[in-house]
Amino acid sequence: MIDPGSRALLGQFEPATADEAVVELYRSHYAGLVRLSAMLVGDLGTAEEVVQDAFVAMHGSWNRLRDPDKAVAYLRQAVVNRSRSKLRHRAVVAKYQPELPPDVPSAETYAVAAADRAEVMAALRALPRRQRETLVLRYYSDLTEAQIADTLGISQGAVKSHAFRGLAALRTLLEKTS
Amino acid sequence: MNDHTGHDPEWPDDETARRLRDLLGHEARSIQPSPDGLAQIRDRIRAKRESRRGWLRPLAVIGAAAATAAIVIVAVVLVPQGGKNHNSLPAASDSTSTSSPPPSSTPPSSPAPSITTPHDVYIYYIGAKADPQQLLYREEVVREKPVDNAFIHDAVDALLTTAPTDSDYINPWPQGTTILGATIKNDTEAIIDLSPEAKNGPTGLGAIAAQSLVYTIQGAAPKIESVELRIGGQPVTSLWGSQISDPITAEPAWQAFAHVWITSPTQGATVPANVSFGGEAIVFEATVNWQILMNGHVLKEGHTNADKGAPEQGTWHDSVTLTPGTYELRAFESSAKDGSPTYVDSKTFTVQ
Repeated sequence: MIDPGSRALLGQFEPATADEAVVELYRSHYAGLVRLSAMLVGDLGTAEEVVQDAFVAMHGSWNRLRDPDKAVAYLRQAVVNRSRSKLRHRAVVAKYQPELPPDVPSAETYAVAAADRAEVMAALRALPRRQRETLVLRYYSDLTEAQIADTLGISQGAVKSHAFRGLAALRTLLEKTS
Repeated sequence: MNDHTGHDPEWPDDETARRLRDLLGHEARSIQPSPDGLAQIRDRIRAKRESRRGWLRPLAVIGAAAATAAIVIVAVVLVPQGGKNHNSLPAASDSTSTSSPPPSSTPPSSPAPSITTPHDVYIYYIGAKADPQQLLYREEVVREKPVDNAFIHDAVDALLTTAPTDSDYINPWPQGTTILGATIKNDTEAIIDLSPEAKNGPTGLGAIAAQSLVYTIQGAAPKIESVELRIGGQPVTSLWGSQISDPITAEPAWQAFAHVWITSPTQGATVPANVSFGGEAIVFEATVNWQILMNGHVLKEGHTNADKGAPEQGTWHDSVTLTPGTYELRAFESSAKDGSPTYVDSKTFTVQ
């Protein structure tokens, strides 16, 4: 694992080339972005395609980005936009497995059962798209209001109002989850 | 489970929001991206390049670049230190000179009866188990401030003579190894001479042990960028069967450090019922998972966010209220591959 040629020290660093940026951002963000997209489109295969497209586009734009933070913001925006256009063109089919993988702590330790979750996820995907995107970016990706506004290209006030409306629409269903 | 409400009080982070957050977290863990995503991305980039460049250029060699993932530094973050004045490092001059070793003193592992001028040293140990590799963990020890500000000599001495508090970590440096000399060259390179005992350490751990040396030295003397290692006065280019560079430079944290560290509570600590815990982590989307166990059973669990996501190391913390007893805290990253816990760090502690 030790690369004697590396000149890195502690702390922050920046990948030198587009190829290296792809590798590094893949390691740190691929899984999270696939999950983000899967929540929006409801289909793992489509989500992977969307995120891979976004990485190819990011690679092509690397000379302009040149900065891991900007590249992550770019990837996130590309993933949300591409997820949206995928949804526009085809019906949502939840293909991925709703069950937890076997080697995470036992199911009873989770407050929300998988069946309830599928119901809420379906309701989430039935929301108007801005509301859906806002809720997922806020409560899964943990973005700030400003980051969500940037990602979606809307004002912070609009972000807040989408979040309120989206949560209100899901409230009854979420209250049933224990 | 986790509490993000403090970050942004204007947000609707009520019970509904909390449930949605938990639910999306569980949903995320059920989604397992395929392991060959990177290969597919590379194929697509290659195909795009070929179609654009036609026959003018041979295939791009993205694979080679990807394999090494060389890194360029843009900034250096220095570990904050107890000993403030590193400008007064011994021999911080242009030429080569030797710092005087402090007089031999009480071994730091035995209870030091009277530390009059305390000085914190960060020691980097190696995880005892491969999870998935044996990487570095950090512990802090308090030592007497070194005579003549011989911070480098003191830090290496601490590394060589201090056993980890946490039995999940190992000190790879062979017992009996002593530091024969610490020299600074050109302000930024340390020349460290160790006694011949250093020749025979655990096979396969030479490269990461070299990192433990560099990081421990940098913790005490942030100006140091590289370390030239000598054993018995002779320069070495391999250690315990592993090639090491000459001089040794620090690998980036995400390659050298275990991804999740618990730094508080420390192993064996006694703490009040309202237990604050935390550490540092290099995890994607900055998510750190934790569990509180008693006798091997999970009592509580949750997740929280580090203040920075990978590839940077962020700090994380959370808290929980417990009744008196002895507990184990585990913190880990969920594997991107299958959601299983990786980079597990654990501490046993007692609530009074």
